[in-house]
Amino acid sequence: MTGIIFALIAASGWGASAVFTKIALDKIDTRLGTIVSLFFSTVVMFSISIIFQTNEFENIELNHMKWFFAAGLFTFALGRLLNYTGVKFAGVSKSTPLVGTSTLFATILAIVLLGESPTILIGLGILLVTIGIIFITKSK
Amino acid sequence: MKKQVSNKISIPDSKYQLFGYIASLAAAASYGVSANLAKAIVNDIAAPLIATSFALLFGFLILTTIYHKHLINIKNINRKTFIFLFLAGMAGSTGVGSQYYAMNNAPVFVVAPITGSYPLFAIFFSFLFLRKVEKQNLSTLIGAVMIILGVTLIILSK
Repeated sequence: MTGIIFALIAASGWGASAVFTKIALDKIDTRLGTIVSLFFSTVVMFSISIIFQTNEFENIELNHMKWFFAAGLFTFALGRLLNYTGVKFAGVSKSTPLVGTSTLFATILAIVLLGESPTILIGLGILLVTIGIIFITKSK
Repeated sequence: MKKQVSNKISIPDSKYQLFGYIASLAAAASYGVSANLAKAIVNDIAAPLIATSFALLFGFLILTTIYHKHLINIKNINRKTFIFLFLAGMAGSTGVGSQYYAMNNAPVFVVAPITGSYPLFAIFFSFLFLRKVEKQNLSTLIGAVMIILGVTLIILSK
């Protein structure tokens, strides 16, 4: 039951985040909004990490930074900026499901780059996601 | 360029909407790359919280370097906007943290469909708080449900 409650908190947290973003970005440039949002998130996340996982910082080496840089580039510099741009221009209810297709892209990448085998379930999933995208982008 | 439907928030026209769709799908592709990166990082390099902290720092530094000229406008941001940006960041971070706890306390086949349904929560909150500026319709809801089902199938197949 605890797992389900936390999963519901996660889903509602992400849903609420999109709505807060839409309201916040109405008056300002998306790039500036993303930078300010990243500043707050960085401060909060580092504070939480320092409080709960101080010892883990000792294991960080300089050569790990290239991995963190790549993650920062794709997840936050590109990912969040594009996500916020989508929310601002397409709206919460259309942008959020489209961003939710990231699992599809991750799976395609894993098949193409890592050689993972596609299954019938994955094929069916891709079909459903594609139809879903068509429904959303064609709706008025 | 934009239709004003209330004193506070405006709705973009169809050209801007298309731009929004492309940006949303590009964001999904970018998150897709980062999901594979995250798997490698968490498996071999650092704990999720530490990795997320450093990734956030680098994301902030990259955007600040590229768009530093926009920072001059920071003084024009009002308090309400700051609060909502802060809330957006906090809600998103709460989502990430809760997902880790959920994964620790329940199997993936239970957690994944629930967390994957976050677009439905977004549509519901949008219906509650943005009703005047965002039109909800059946096609969007059907599309969201199909995407959630498709994503859930993909996750469960692994």
